[in-house]
Amino acid sequence: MTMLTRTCLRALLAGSLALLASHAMADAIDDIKARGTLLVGGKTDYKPFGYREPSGKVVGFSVDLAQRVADKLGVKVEIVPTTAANQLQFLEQGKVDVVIAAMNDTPERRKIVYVVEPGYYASGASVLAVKTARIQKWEDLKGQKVCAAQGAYFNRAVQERYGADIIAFKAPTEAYNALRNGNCSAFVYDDNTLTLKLEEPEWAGYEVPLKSIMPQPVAMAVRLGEERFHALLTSLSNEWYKTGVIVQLEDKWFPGKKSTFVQDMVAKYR
Amino acid sequence: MTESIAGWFKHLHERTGINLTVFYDAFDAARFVAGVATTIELALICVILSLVIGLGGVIVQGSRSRLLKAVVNAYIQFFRNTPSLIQLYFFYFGLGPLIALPNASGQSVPLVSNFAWAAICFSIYAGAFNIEIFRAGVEAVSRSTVEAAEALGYTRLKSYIHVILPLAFRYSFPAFSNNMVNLTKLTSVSYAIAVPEILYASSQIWSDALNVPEMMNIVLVSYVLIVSVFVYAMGRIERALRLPGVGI
Amino acid sequence: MSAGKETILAVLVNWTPYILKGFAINVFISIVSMALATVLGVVVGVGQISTNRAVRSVCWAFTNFFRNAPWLVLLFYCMLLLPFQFRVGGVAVAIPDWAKATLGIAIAAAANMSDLVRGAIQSIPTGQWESAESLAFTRRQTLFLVILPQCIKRLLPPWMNLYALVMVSTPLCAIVGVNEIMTVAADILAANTRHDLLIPVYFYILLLFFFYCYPIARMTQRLERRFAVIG
Repeated sequence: MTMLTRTCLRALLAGSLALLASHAMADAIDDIKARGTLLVGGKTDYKPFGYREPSGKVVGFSVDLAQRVADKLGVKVEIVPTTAANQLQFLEQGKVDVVIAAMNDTPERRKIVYVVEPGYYASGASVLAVKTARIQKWEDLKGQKVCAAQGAYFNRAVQERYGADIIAFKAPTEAYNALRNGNCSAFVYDDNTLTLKLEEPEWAGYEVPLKSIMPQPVAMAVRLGEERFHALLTSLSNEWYKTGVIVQLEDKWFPGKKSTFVQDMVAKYR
Repeated sequence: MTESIAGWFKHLHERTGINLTVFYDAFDAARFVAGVATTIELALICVILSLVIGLGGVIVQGSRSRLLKAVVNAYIQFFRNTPSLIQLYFFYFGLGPLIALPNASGQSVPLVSNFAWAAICFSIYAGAFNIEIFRAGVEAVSRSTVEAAEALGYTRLKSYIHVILPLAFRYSFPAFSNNMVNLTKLTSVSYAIAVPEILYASSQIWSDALNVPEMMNIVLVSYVLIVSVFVYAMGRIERALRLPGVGI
Repeated sequence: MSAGKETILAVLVNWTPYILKGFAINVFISIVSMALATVLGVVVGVGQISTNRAVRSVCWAFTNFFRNAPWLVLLFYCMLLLPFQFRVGGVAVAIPDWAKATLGIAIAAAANMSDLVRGAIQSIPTGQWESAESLAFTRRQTLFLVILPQCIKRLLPPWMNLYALVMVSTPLCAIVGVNEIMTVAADILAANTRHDLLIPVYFYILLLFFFYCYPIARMTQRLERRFAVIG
């Protein structure tokens, strides 16, 4: 072996050992404070929880909560755009510190991440259907082409339980486009977002005819094992119900709506 | 037998956390198998269609009409030098709603499904390459053979079908089989318009079961296996097509 | 009717700076990918004709495995399974998304490049190897001083072909979440709710790629004809 080969091999070995060196993870709160920024996995295309204003700024229900968490920790907040399909991965990998993305709390997700209870809102699945398809109950979806967004927790259930032919697109925008083009007769998605979408004039020929199914709280989530951070967020969530923050935010982002979920939670955490 | 296989994978999941739901969950297994079937179906349809386009195109290219030659050339250059993903979006989201008819409940439904658009788009794309490949093969047919066919009274079209193309096809087979292998790999791009092939089926599974690394490995291995089988099949076809005295 | 068409053109002209910025990202990814692929491809390609059986098998396995995998699947694999940062010493080095995508394309193209290199080396007449041996060149000297320089010329057309293929594959990065021209297109279509923009926007982008790749294709054709072996 020449000198060059030997030096290269040594460098390679040293490099790989450095990479494999244990990930000695400090506590999340320490990391956040050291960095000075709270990295929040959030949605940027999901009205009204997280979406972009024309200026490009991300605003929404979840964004407001993220700001409050950052204020509590005394750091800045940065929203990292995520989708339902990659939000948990980003959290696991450490790309974000916490997911505040209107993420529904499900048993499968609890196996992978540490969900903060109580959740800060609730949503279920409903459909945006073209009026002429006359969809009146969930069973009417049988055999119909139904658009969906990849990663939603209810896609599989709608397919298994009601026999819908689910066509899942990567982004909700593509699904909306496909619905407009007639590639499907309905779009199964989060009921809050769909109801808001109906207010836009170009969706006049469409309706949200079905009662929501599979209601689940939406909650924040942190990595498994982050006990301190989890405890902090839990106490914050309790506080938000006690001091009426959630009711305020509901008024701001869902004007005129008073969901039974929020009323129940306020009564519980009084 | 299947229960014990399913049981073993469930046990593996509980013990090591390696979650291979396609082996023990009936719904996921069905989805994945359907995905494999769709991939193979799409690949076969595209191979046949692009072969037809290739052969037809090379015959048109040999015509005396300069206009026809220019049209074929423009088609080849445009589809070879633009990305097939954008071609796919253009067809499915752009042209799709234009070719629509109202269905029973009055909604304007596109006539061409996403699977069909994928088949059309990929066949056109690979067909453009095929025309070039077959043209090189046609040029490799020796002039004396062509003249002999002429002397025997074959019309131009008949001499193409009976004499020139069979030889050209054999000469260009290595490049053709390479193109067909690339076409098989290209079918994965139809994931972008929600065609339920392997990658799409797997992404659905990993969204529900949250087992991304396991599914990614399965996807990679599945595709490599399918393509390897295809490469082997093309090798067998090449051997079967061999003529004594012809070929490299 | 013509008034409507004009406004479409006006919209496209307005968005052109943003579109070109997105296209520039594609060009950047294609160049970095191609550079990586060339280096890796040459190494693995030379390894495929090595006298060492282990090296030969590993290089052969690498080439054939990655040639049989779809480029989109390799992209997904790199994107999802590579870490987003790694620690060297105590410093965390972030690997941005576009870098992971570039690596995915580079590996796929390197497999192609390796076969091209192997083919080029094997097409050099054995007389060259024999004369070099008789002049007391070692195998390594023969390879680097005699064989590979001759391969460069005959590798140029297929290498340029491969670059065109890489360039045309860069939009796949959008599927795995990299911001490039397809993301720009989605932004434009989301910002303007008019439904008749779909076809013009996608056609515009197709033209951009065409005017970039077609000259490369013509140059490749001319080089092929010049280097063609007669006979």
